[in-house]
Amino acid sequence: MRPFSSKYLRLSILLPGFLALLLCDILLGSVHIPLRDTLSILAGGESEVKAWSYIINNIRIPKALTAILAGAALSVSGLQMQTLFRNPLASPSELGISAGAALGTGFLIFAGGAAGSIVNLHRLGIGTSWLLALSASLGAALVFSVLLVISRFIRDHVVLLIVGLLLGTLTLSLTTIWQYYSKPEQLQAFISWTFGSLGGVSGHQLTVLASVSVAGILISFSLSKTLNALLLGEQNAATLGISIQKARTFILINTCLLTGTVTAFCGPIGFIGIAVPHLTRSLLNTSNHLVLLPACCLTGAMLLLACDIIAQLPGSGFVLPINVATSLAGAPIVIWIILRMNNLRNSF
Amino acid sequence: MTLTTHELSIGYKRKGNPISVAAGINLSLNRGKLTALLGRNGSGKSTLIRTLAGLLKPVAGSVMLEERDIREWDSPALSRKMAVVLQEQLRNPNLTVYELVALGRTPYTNWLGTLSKEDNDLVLESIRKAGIPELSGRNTHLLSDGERQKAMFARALAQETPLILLDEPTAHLDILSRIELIRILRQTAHTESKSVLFSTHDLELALQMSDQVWLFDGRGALLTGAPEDLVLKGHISRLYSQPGEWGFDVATGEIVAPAPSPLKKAVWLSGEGSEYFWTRKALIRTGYTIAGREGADCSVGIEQNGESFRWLVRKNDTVQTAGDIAGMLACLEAPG
Repeated sequence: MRPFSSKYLRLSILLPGFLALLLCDILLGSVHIPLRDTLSILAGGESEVKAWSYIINNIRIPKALTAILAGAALSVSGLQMQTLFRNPLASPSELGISAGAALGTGFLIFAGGAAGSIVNLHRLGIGTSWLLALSASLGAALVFSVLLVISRFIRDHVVLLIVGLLLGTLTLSLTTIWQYYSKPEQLQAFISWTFGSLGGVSGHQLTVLASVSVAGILISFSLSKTLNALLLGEQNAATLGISIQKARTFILINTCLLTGTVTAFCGPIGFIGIAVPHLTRSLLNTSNHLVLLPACCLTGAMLLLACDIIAQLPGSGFVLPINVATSLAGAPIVIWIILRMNNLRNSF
Repeated sequence: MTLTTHELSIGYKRKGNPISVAAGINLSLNRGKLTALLGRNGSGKSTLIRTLAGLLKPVAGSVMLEERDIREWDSPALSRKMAVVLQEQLRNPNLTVYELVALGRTPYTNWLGTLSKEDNDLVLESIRKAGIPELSGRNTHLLSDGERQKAMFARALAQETPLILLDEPTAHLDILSRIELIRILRQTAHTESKSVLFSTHDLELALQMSDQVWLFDGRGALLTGAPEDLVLKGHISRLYSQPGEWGFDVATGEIVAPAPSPLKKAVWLSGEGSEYFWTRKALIRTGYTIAGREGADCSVGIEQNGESFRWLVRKNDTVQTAGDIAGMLACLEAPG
């Protein structure tokens, strides 16, 4: 008897969809590039227009990769938090972790003085990219640690959520103080960062984003046995030989690295972290992390690719910030699917 | 002898001060025995189970497993010795029964939790022993409370431990599911020579089916012994009674409900068998006292008539006949 095989089968159906979205994301944009040329450039060939090669290789492929990495990383973060806190509303943005990452990033932007604007940070070397990721992760870890301590005294889902929201507000207000006293150009850089953007992550930054995301996702795969045991509640998991302290620490570090790094480079992207785990659980009707983790990576990547396509407003020259696209387009889709499957209650 | 306690005092901390719920507990869990843990609400049943499982620190004294303090065991090693089913897990994990029971293999599987052929066989075997083989593919949220408890027990079985502790496994179950579950617990203890400890509020079932009873006496001590000894020494009736109103009846082994007051007339009852027994119960329940022929105000006789029975009610020199107990009660109630 192989209890998981049917779930993996359903999972593999998603793969062609993923590839199609990836191709669409690279194909569509403010500059029209025909499908034939796109494919030949992707295959490593040259195209008749030099600019097209440049656009695809240096703008669209990094952007698509960023969407895949960020989508997967945020979804895995959200899934880990929902399991750890046994709370359907837990996610990096809802519990203030993203706000913590924003604080870390803001700290670097504003503390960096004139040199600290995002644009300048982008131009600097790989060391700065690591610094940015680290600073955001530390900011995230600050909030997460406070939350973990508080969660030891609170068993109630709703109370924990309220505390998380308040922590997020507290953290944001710290960032606001910085904003208030910063120079206009810094402020502009920070505000445009908060809209979220998948573009502009290239070179060193993409290297850092990719290394951290892949490492973080691998760590969470290695935590899947622990996460499954946590489905029974912390005390029961402890009687199965799981060290709860170790589990909490690993999940904390991992979530902060993933959320922090993505937030540092792409801005505080909301919604993916909370919605994708629910979406995946609804579609597969299981909480088994051996199935859910790969499924979340795939679904998260697909959802963010789809949102990126919508943000391009295909056929027009305008581009929407990614945060607008995830909320405007993503939310209705996810609400529709969750209502249709109507099995969210089964998991909590 | 696998699990023992020495002058154990259990409780919890409030604002840093330890508050003891029960103290001076010396006991041992023996292999091949089913032990029932009884006590009123808040007497410390869950606290004791959590302390024995090493999840709570004792206020004083120690819990020893194989001559080593339970707090010194590392959790993977301990999880191969002791399986614990706490009430916490009644929430929905959204797994199939099979996946849930497979979690019991956690102490033995590799870092990814991959199940070997032997693990898979053991999981199926545990599901079968728990009496739910037809449910292995069903999602846990579709189970009834009784089925879910059996699935949780199967998970504990799959853990292959000599000790199994369960915190109120029979809560929320109907009477048949309770009997069925305790029967499975007893069978496991006897046939597989495991020590099984369960806390429960099912006084009568626990007295009938367990080999050993641990009883919180409500004054901070834990009494142990064979169920019948605890009854005869009066421990059970002392705890489960309200003097002058209701209580545990040592003669019948059941809790006797308070009679409604004010008491009605005295009835002389004649008849035999189950009909006599249940007619007597009905009369007592409705507030009559059972008296001898001399002291009675009226009388009820039970007559067999072929397959059926009828009740003859004599009151003030008139005789009325009723076809069932409800009719008999109506005749007694009727004025005049």
